[in-house]
Amino acid sequence: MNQKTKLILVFMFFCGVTIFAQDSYLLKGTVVSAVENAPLPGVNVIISNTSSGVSTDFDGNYQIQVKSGDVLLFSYIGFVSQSVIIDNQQPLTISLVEDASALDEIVVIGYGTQKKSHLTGSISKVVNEDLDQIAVSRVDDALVGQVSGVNIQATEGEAGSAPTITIRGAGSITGNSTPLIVVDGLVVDSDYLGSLDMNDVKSFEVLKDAASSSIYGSRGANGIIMITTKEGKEGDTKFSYNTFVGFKEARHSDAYTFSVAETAAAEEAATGSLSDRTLYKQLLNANTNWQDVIFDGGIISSHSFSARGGGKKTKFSTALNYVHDEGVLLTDDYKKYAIKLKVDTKLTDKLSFGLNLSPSITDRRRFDGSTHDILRQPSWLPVYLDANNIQFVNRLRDGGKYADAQIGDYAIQRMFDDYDLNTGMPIETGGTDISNTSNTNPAAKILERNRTDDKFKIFGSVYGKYDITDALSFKSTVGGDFQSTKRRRWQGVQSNRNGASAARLDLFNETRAHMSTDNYFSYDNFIGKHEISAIGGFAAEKWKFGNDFVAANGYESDKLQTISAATTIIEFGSEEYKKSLLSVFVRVNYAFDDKYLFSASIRRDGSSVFGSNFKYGNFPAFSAGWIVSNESFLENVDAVTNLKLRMSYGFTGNDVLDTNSNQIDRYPSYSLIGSSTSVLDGGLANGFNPLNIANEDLQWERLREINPGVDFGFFNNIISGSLDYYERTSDQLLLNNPISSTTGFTEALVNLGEVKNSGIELELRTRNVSTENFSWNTTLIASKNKNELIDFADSNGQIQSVDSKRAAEWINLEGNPISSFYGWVVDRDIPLEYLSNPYHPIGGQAQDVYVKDLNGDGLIDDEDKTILGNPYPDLVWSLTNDFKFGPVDFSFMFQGSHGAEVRNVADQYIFNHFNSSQDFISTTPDQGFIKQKIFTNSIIQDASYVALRTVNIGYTLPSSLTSKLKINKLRLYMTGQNLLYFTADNYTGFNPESIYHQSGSQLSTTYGYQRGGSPINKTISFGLNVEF
Amino acid sequence: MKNIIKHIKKLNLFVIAIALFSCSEDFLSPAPTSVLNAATFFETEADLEAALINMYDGIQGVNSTQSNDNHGIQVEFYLTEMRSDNTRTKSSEGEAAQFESYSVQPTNGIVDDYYRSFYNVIFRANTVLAHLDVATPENLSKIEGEAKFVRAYAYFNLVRLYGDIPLVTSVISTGDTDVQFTRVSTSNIYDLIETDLSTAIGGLDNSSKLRASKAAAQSLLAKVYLTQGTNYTEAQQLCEAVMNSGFMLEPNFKNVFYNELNNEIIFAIGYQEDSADSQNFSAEWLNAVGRSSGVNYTTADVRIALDALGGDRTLYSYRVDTDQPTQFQVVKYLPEEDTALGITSTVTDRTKAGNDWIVIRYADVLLLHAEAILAGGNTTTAQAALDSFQLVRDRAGLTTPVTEITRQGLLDERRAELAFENHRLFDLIRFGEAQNVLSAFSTATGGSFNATDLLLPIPQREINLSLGQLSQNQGYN
Amino acid sequence: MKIQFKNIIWLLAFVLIAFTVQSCEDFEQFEPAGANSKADQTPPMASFSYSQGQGDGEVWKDYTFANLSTSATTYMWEFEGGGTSSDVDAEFTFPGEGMYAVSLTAFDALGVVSVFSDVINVVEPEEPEAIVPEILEASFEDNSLAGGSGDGRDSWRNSALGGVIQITSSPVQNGSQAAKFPSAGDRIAYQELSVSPNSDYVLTYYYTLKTNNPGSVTVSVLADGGHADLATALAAKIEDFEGTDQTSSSNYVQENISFNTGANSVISILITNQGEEARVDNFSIAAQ
Repeated sequence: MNQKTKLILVFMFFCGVTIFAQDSYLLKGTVVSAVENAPLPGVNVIISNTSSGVSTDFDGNYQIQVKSGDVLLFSYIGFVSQSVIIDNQQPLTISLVEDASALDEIVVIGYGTQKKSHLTGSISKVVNEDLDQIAVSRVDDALVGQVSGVNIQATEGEAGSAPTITIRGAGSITGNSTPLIVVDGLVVDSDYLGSLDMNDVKSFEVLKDAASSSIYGSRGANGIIMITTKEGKEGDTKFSYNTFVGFKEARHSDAYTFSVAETAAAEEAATGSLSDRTLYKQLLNANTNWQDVIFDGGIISSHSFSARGGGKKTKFSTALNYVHDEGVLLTDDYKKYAIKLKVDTKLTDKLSFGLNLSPSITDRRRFDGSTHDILRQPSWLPVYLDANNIQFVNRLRDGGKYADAQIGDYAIQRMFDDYDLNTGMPIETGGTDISNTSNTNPAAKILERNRTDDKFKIFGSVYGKYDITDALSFKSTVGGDFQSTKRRRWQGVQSNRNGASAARLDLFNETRAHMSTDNYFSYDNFIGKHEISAIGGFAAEKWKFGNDFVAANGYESDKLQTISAATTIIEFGSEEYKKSLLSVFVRVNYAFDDKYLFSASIRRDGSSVFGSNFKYGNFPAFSAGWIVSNESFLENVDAVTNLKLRMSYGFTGNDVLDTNSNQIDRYPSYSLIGSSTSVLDGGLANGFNPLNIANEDLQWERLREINPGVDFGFFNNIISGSLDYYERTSDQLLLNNPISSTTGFTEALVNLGEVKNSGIELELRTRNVSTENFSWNTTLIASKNKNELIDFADSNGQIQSVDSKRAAEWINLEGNPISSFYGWVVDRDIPLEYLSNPYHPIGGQAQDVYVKDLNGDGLIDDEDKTILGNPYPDLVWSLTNDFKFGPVDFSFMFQGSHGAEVRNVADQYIFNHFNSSQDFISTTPDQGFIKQKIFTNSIIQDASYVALRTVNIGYTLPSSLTSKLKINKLRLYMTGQNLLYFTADNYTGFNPESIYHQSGSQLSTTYGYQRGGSPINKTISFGLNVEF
Repeated sequence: MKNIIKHIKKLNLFVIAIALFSCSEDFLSPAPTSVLNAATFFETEADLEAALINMYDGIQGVNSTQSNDNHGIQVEFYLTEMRSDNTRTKSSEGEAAQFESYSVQPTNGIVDDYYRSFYNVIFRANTVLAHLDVATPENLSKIEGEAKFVRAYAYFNLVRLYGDIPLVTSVISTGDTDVQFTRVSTSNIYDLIETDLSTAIGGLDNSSKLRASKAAAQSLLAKVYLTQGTNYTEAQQLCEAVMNSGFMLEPNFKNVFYNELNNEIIFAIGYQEDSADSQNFSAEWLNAVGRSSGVNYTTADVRIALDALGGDRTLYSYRVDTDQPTQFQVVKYLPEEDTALGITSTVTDRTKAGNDWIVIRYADVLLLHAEAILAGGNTTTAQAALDSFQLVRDRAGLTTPVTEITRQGLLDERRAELAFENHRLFDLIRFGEAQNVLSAFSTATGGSFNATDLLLPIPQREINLSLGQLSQNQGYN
Repeated sequence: MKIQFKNIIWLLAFVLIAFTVQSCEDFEQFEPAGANSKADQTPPMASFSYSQGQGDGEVWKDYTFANLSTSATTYMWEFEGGGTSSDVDAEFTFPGEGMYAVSLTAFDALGVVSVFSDVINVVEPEEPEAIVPEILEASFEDNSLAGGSGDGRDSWRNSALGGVIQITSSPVQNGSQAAKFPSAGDRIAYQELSVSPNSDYVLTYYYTLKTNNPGSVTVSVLADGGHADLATALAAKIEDFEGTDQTSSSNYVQENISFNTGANSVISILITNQGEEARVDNFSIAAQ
């Protein structure tokens, strides 16, 4: 037996399956390609209706046990299969004919489609094979690791929260780096991904390079994700039902688990005795693990039903989807109900018409708190009062505040202060204090609040297509999406230390209407060897936003949570704003003799955001390709099946702003005036307050990209893939840049600077083994990106911070990434004996640290600050292996990211930080060298990780069985996410991918801030997929 | 070709669809509807009035716990009382405790907050001054006076806290970095303050307490002169002008704070409870009611002084913290009722208090009057001084006639009368006693006072943005 | 098949290595700059300010020094007449009045040094005595101004308030001339004096009236100077005296007006008469 069959056996063994050979004679032979008469390796040679088969070796040779009468089936991807009846032939040489259609996979590009073989830009296609089996509530979560150059980070991790998607690095420098989402040809709000049903998705195409995305001009700067939903096919109606249930748990951080015992041990070891506080904590005997309390885990379940079919003229596709994700955090919960209807019909042989309608409702309950705040809680504090700890409750202190505490009440730190260890009784004052906050119980903060986001979304579009001639057609689409969000936030009586007086209800209603129309001619024609396809048309888009809010207080209890039950309206307001976009576009694709490919396009966009002088932007693109493998001189090179060189160059733009004001984002060219109120002698008076510094000259952020690449397939695509190099340069960056507050403002919108992202992308697919009943494919996807600030004009070297209370600094320095962490360098820790409370509340941690004197002048000042790292990964990769063994399929994906750092401020909260302005004693030496850790690299941590993203095992019932059940297909599967997750040693947080973004602050110039973040979800799920 | 055209006719349908979109008068220039466009805003005097009102909104500040909001006057006590020997944090928590220990960092958020807030107030005043052209002749001088009073008030606070500071006298833009980052000498700042206040005195009347008034401008100018140790006679004349404007001491000291807009108030910042225009400093001064666990708690030092010199005032100056009986809270500006003291309150949420903040009151002016007569000397027996001084003491129940006023006596009297009203630090500096008193105090309380701590650092944020142009105050790294 | 397989393994390995090598520096934690890796851009700069003690007794000898140095770690104060200190801010008590050199030396850890010194003139502040103003042409004599000029009434003119007084040679109270106010009462004498605010003064003068008709002569002390209108001037009166003694037209009567200057560093004397011809002479002023 040869190498390969051994291998197969190994896997048979794995699958616990054995097969029996039968006696017969050993047939030998060769398989060649009909045209070049070249040997074909890896051809499947199978005896029909059996599970036995082999595949040809590198020289196209095969040998297989057969007996007369057998039907031998030769199949090979890209070739027309052949079957031969065995009649003692020896040897048997077969020549397979290439299947022309197979190579011409169709790829969706902006305003139309194109043969994959003719692509000159960088576009990746992901066909939804088993993405819908990944137990996530959003489609974008399922795309992780699927496409090179696309980095999807679970930056929030709350159930239903959107991940951050970046294509080829921080493309646009504004806070918004989300790619444009196009569903069935119509631009939609990126939030639409939240309501889309993965089961209804046919494929994703990701347009990565500027040349490909520039047909969407100003919308394309962050790349484009084109989503094609499934449509009905002619024939009997096919029903499909897919369901899974997943069990989620949070990835804990050992660094943040502390038991009273540990602290005590540390103290005893160091001092030889225990302080009163520690002794008392031991008495309380609670030892709460707050991670267990807050990360309560959850169940995610999904049901999706679809019916697709149609006749000659009309095809339809309809789907129902329900997802319920409990999330891993306390109280977070996400429900999605989606309906989908898609109808395409030919009215006449020239005029066709289609309609697409998908309403959805999502109900989301938020985790209304922050993990870092809860996790700083000491482990001695119980969640509820119980029979033991209630005896320590101090009913005397705080003016008898806790006099009537009862078992089952929330435990509050202050309840346990002033305990007299000698008498074993709480006393009014002068006892042992162990509280380090007056806040209420952290669990109460979460459980006694109810914060919900309920959305209704509807996406609809209608198109008409008219074939003017065979080659020329006109298509017009009118559609849009409407979204209504109701945010409600109830802060209950027990959620705040101030009790009923702090009870409060906030209501926030938001509507968002987006209308758009595309109208374009397309022309597709062959003239001899010339293949031309061109489009030209125009598009218009319009957004209308509105919101209103009201907040009230004065509630006695949680009973009636309505505005009318309040005594006072404390805040209220409303606003509306608009945006519009008008575009003209043309594109010509030309191919000569399937060898030489050219494409040129230009789009002119007008945006309402900019002032009259700068409304319009032009976004041209040009690309060319050369299919070398179709050249005669390669025809006889067997190794090379497919080789294409391509080069693209194009421009895109960006007009999306991210200040913390909706108004400024839409009308930055005006100096705006909002309302303000003031209390004067006559009571409240209304005034008008300037909101911004106008910038009439604000204009398009421009992005230009050059992208040489090669697509290759060797040995009849046993090895195939593509390699891209890109250099994308954004200039005139739209920044809400910090400015001196002496202007009356703290930031202003500017076009500033230039940033370069350059990198390499590799997609490598290998068909390691491919036989009828066993196949093994490997996909390696890797992208390396380098982000560099080329020019920052007068702001070069600008230092800024996101939060004036915790003013950790970032620097924007040319020659480095757009934002780098900045500050002092840790020298050494402060010896415990110099800490005022070394073992309280958490053992052996200081908020301060000795830093290095970089210039040696004996003073720690700004001159001793330096770059401490940057938040951009250098390498993001994924390695996927798919195995098919008969009815069993198995796949797993490892995914990793390397080279990024985060500033994990959670440490500051958790280790007794911010507990006092200075927690070292006055006799501490070299106090001039001591700084708060937050200003040092002490909390700069390596954010690299390697994760076993998905594991998927499926079993498809044999058709013999299913046909009895009158069903076409029945598949059982089991998937796991993040079952393994490795982070760097010095990373202490929950989720290296998590990024905290304070709205209004510039995400790009102060990137990489992390406040503990919500944890990575570990999920194991079981699913069932039926088609009938 | 013909038939293509024919076909295209059929496309009118779509053309109409597009028309619907683009025919709206200017598709690409939707006018803002929820906000106004400044270019066309300032047309009438009413618009100017709106801009005036906005100045006070700026001083009031936002009642929020968002550290990036402008909190205006609400955070002033951190930078003044808590840097004096009067108050401290309850549990020396967080950046607030940097003040009492004289270890203020340039990155301190409150230092930035105040700087930010008051330059924003200056911007709002400059906005008014930039559009005076729409004022009617009869009101021009009043409007100008009001804006200039507010500007002077803001600069007076800033220059005393930060020393040499950028001088912004008009609406500036992003590009004017020379103005933004050039530190102008204290004396030049005072020149602007004096001219602004003189203009204000000329233009204003005494019709308002929560807005600028003639008396407010006169009192402020008197203090400005005394702070610089010049023009004592003018200062005295200004005080006397105020004294002849019909203000009087509130007979009961408590009512100064709990009977708003009383006769003693010359200038105050208004707040309205349970509304967006409320304040939260009152709550911060209580035990874990505000964001902090309690700030602006009284020091032993001030309690000794008050017990000795306060008379009737002591009762309404500090009280025992019932939650932590070893701690003592400020009683002025309480956002809750205290039956023992007969203080009532109607606020629902104490963090949304309505207590007005008193900037200038008559007692302050009376003591300034005595100070002006003292004219930098060590003692005075001038009857005019004794009279003013006695008025203040009589109200406190200290009726024994005073025959001589010493510097120390006056300083102590101000401390007792104006405790926790953000005067103490400035008084110490004005009397030249700050370095002695505070170094002694900080030695006693384990702080690290240096002479350079009398000025706050320029916020690190500004230093950073200035790319080296803006120099830091001495003593801060 | 072997080869195919090898190919793949080899290729995968290669690619992985390639990427790894390219970014190996990124696999371990970013290493920031170390100690003494930079040059010091800001050498020490010594500077200080000082203030004299205020209060009773010897406090005036106590000086407090505020250290305004930048970028320094240690300090050395040196005071002329003995005394050093290495505190940040220093206090020093000088032995007595005189000129004293004080120097501050600032060092940083790199041994860079900066020296700032100043000479302090220590003087005991004496209680400011009330200014005693000089009344010009106090008894209306010719050539009594500095340099021997003057017609005896030049210093008393203010045409805005009234006509200039006449000069008489008899009767006089002192010297050879006195001021004469005709019975019409349209003449005034006016003179401004600088005084100390909030101080008590006594203004002394002599007057006499003719006896034909009832009349009087009024001397007013006015707040401030620069008076240009009689009504407002009189409204600014601090103190005045209306002399009505008509017992003899030849004998002068002495009058003392005592007043407190209040918030004025300038006062004015205004003399008017009513009904009858009046004479005044020999003004003098004294602080109390």
